[in-house]
Amino acid sequence: MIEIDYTIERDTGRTKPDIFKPVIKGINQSPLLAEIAADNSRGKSTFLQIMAISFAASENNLKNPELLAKINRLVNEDYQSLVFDLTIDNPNFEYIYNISKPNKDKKNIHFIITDRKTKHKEELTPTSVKKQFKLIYDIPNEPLSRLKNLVEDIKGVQDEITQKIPLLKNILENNLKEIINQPKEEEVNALESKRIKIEEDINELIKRIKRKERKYESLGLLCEIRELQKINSAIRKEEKKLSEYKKKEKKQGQPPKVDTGKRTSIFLVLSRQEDEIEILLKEVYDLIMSNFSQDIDVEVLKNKYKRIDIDDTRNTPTQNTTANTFIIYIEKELRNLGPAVNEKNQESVLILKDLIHVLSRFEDSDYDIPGINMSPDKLLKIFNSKIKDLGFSQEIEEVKNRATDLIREIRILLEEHFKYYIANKDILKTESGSTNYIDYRSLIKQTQEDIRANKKKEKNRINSLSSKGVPETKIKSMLNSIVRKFPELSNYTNIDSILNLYERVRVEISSLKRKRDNKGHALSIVKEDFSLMKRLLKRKNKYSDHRETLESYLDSLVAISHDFEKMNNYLKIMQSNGQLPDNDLAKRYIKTINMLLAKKLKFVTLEGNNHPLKEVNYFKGYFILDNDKKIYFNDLGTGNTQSNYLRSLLRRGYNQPLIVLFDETAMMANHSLHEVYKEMKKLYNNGSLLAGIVIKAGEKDSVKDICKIV
Amino acid sequence: MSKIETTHLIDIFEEKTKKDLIDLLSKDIKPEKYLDELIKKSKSKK
Repeated sequence: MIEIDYTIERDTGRTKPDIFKPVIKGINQSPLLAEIAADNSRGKSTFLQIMAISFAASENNLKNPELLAKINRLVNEDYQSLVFDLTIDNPNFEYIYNISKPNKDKKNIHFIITDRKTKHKEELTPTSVKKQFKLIYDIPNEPLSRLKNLVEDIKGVQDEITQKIPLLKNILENNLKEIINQPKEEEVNALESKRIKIEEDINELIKRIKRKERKYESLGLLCEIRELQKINSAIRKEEKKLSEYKKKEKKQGQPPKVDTGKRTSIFLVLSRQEDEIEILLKEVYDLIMSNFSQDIDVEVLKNKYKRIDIDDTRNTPTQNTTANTFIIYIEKELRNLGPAVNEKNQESVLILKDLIHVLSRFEDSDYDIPGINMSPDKLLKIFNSKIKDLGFSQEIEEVKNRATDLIREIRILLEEHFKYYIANKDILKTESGSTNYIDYRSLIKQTQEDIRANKKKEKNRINSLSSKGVPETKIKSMLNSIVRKFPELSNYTNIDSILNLYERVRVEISSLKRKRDNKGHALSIVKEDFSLMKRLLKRKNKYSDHRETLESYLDSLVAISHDFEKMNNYLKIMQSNGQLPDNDLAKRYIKTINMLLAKKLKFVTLEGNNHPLKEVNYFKGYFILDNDKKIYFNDLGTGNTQSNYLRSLLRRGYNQPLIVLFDETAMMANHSLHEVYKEMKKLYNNGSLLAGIVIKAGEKDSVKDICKIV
Repeated sequence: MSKIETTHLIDIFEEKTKKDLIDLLSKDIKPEKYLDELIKKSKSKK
């Protein structure tokens, strides 16, 4: 019995190699003389090749170069590996033979003989094997069979090339992909510039935020300081009034015998109204002096202000009062200042202001506005710059508006004051009608209460400033410091204006912080891309300079892949005598195959004689001999010659045990083949033949015992 | 791989790149050397 097991691993370029194992039913444990039939690619010849390898097949003991090439391919090619284990147990022999190749990466073959009786084992070297056994391994030299083998050889070569194509394609594609995706030096530099620019922008934003935060803090303090100044001013005024009341009370002496309660309350209302008018007049005066001292005649303004007599507001119609003269002058001066923007540009300013209002909602967006390809932020900068160029100033506008509001308020108060006085004029008179007695005691009391209330406010304000790190002694120097750092705040004396600006700066700070965060996010993305690109740049593909060459080879490889597919198909058609297509590739291929077959076949054996070959036409099925005789395949014999040849091989009388391996005997007729089988059986029976395998083509797998066939 | 078969298969094609590829694939060359061989072949005028 012959026991065989083998594994062939073949790398086809895919992740896992193809694995081949014995698949023909019965081949694992076959008779010592076996006829094996199976369809193509079932592993018949592989079995014979392993048998031949086991018995040290080489150019010394194997004359057929095609068979030798096949054996070499099985053990020497890098893309495939072989392991096998073979045992031959022939009862006619003294030893049991075990031949194995256990390591796929090593070529070593172990030939162990085991004594049937003593079980003693011994390993033979390849040289000993060669000397001790006679290997007969051949393919019947019948022309058509040989021709068929040659065609199979061509197919084998084509298959080997085809199998390597995906691997090469993969290598080409991967390298090209790497080359294409590899960043260019300029791209990396551009990204680095972008990174630096973003970092600069962020630093600039941080600086602006810090400055705005300082301004915001200063505005908070400024607001409190201005409040404190206002309270101080009120206290001073009330103290002055208190002193006057005390003097007047002393001068007035005892009160007349009249009911003074109602009169005093009227007097108090009138005094409060006058105080309010005076405060507003002072505020509008300070506002104009602070903001327009360069544009108006300061001396005239001062005189007009000094001439205000608050007492005339009681009994003089509003339009004739000195206070009204003053505010009419202010109105005239404001008109003279004219609009900051000329008439022609006013419409532009209005449009720009509306646009700025709309765009400011999208200030933080990076979206480029279609048509102009510009971000809202960039466009806002342009609009703001334009509106400034046109002479528009938000702050000046606010000052003017505030002055106008104050004037309106003063006029209303003057009207109310005058009306109130006229309405209560008679009550203010004494019984005699000549003396106005005033209840200074109540006024003094009221004023003292006002002073106390204001002092309480003053104390609270001082405490608040102190808690913010500005002790009372440092308030003045803090104010100077604020004005020094932010000169534009020197004109801000009005609390409402300060609070408006305070809110505006707060909004600006949060907007700047949002921008900084957005830039920070962009920076982290750019940094990540930059480091990735830099790494890729360092790992430059070694074929980067040959991109076009590789692309050209890849294109050709894809084309070849299709061409080989077609060529394999042509070969199948040729073997089955089908209809070949009429195209250039098919024509070139047939011509090549015919030339190749003629070169390899060299001669045709007919009736025991070799005839040199001039041409082969495989597709049309004929040979042309050197004497121009045309011989059609169909006219050739069925293998008698070959049978005689094989039998003559077996009859030569060898001294060593024989191993007989005949491949591809399909073209031999059964009766010719049986003659060979008889010869083999005779050798087996007389103990000369250790093992004999004959391979036939067949559609179904079969392993038959030759001793039972003949 | 048989040289004679390879030579004939190469002759079927006209383009040099295809000839180079068949020649490469018919030889016992380690895959990691494929591209070096192709670059070498692309420089030869053969």
